[in-house]
Amino acid sequence: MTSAPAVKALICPNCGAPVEIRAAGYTVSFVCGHCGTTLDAIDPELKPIAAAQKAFKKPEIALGTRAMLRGGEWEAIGYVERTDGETPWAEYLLFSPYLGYRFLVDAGSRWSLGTVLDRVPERRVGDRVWLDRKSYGRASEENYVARVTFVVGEFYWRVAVGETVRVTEFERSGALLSCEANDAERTWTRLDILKPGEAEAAFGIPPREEEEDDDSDDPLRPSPYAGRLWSWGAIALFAIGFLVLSTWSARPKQQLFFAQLSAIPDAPEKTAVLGQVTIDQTEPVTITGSADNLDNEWIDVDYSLVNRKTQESYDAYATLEHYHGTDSDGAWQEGSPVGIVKLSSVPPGQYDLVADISAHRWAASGPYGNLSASAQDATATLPITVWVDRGGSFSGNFWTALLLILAWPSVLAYLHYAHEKRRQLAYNR
Amino acid sequence: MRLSTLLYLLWCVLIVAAFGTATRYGWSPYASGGRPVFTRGFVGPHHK
Amino acid sequence: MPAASCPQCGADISFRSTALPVKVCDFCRSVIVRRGEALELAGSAATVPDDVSPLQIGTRGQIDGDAFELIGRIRWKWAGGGWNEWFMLFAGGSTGWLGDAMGRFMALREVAPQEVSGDAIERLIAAQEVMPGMTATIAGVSYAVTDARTVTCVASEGELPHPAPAGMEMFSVDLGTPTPCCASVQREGETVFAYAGRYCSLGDIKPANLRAIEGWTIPDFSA
Repeated sequence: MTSAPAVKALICPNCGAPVEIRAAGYTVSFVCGHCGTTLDAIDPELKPIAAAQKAFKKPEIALGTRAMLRGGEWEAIGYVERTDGETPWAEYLLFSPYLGYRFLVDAGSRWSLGTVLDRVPERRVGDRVWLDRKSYGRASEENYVARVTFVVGEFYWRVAVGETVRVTEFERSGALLSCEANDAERTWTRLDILKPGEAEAAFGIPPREEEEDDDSDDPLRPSPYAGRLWSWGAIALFAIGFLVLSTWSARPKQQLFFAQLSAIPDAPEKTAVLGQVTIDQTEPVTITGSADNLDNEWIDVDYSLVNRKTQESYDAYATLEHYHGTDSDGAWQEGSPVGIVKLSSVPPGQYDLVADISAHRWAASGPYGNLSASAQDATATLPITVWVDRGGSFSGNFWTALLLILAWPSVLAYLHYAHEKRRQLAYNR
Repeated sequence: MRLSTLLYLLWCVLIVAAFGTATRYGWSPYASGGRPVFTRGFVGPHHK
Repeated sequence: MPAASCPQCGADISFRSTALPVKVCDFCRSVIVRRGEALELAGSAATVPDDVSPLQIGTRGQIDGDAFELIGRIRWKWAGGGWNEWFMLFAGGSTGWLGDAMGRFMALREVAPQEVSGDAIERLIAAQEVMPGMTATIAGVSYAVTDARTVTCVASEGELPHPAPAGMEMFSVDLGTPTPCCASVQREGETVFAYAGRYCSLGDIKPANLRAIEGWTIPDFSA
């Protein structure tokens, strides 16, 4: 079977130059590439219907160029330049006999590929529209009017310099929904933002310079932080997983012994050997001291874990205290009768745990209002219980490590949020 | 992979390695020490 | 299917369906109308202008599971453009139209008059003005008029349900919905026809035997 010809060769009645119609049967208006006159493509005589344009330009992508883009083979057959009054941009009409039409929009640093929709997006709450289960928000508060300033090539509608449409845009990251309306009809187009260099590479033109400036108000640009946020989040998750694993595999806390002693308030400091501790691998040692009957008294405890062989001493200090009294606001209490100390990295060995204890009573009146008089006898002894554990881990380590791991992704997340916010506010074509 | 992502990965590896080592040897900057040189200037209740 | 000879030029012609009365001779372009056993000439059809439609007589496809073959075509035009209406013959013997315009396709099937109602329809029947925005209900679906205009027949080929002489005029009303459903109601002379269906792409109809166009590769629509 022979193939049908792809191109219809004709002569421009205005300037006599040969012209090629690439979308015969669909093309309605054809603007001659040599003289700029608009010809009626439906008329077999190609009657001119608009005069030649004064300023003539050659599009950067030559009409007739073929390219593979986003999975389809396309030919650039038409070119228009439009403006919103402030910023100009260009659009190429791409055609394939088997795939139909697309619009390749050249907005300077950003290219996008537009498809005319055959269905209308659903309008829901507020200013959001839904298409294919994705939601789009208003790209800017105001609509704008797009006006054609230059045209060349073939089109499936009656294109003319000066024709205007009112444009309303809705956006999500990486895509835009554009609604163009004039008196006769309304058309919805979905524009997919192309990767930098994608369109230029496909059509063989030099790549545009990418804007590195993250403060650029380019509203079509999705956040440059989004991709990284996912990979950093994954790394952070793995790292936190290792932290948890490490914590669980540490030797759990194990009680070694407990001892009971006593102290006499305001008596001279006394030293007591609480017991023996055997450590077989480098690990923390936790000493918890508790005095139940403190009544406006405090006890200073200096612990020393002394290695029997080397006489090296690991020291810690705790205060067990409890005060109460009354003042203009009523009764108050203060102080903790439990003191926990945790010694880090105690090396293997045999140790004696020694405590220097000294208890004191607070005077009945002083600069803190009237304390309740101590109900205890001046010479009553204060019982102290001391528990000794080994092993375990420091929660402080864990939280510090967690914070450090999450610090950078948090910064990135903030930058991403700030960018998206800026994108919402600063949109203006 | 971007440079910043690689650096972040190395940073996390460093943190995890340091944490693992500290946990293995029971070390921590939050451990208790001996009586601090400057305790609160006085002992006793702070209330008011 | 009975084989016959063109009364004008003697070429072999065949009719795919006994229900379809019109065939345009591929060789001499005479319009042959079958009335009972007899074949009558009814003028000649203009040649279809060159185009790059991916469809051709003999293209097969499926719409919503029903297999069809394109056996005829009418080309229409209006002030702002032209398009093809391809005549679909379904496996069960029913027919429909596949509209081919602006790179988009509309698969429509005739709707019985009792399923058609609405403001736009009544005005059309009464030959009154029909404007965009007016409503109609066709086969249970509510539509709004998107377009209403006079269209002219340009050319025809293949087998058709009725003659389509060049220059024949028809008033055509297009209707749409927010979904890909669409409809078309036409008045030819005194008769009003209604068709309903939906927009589709070439991929949707799983086409086979598409027309080859020089320099273009037919995409793999089965992907």
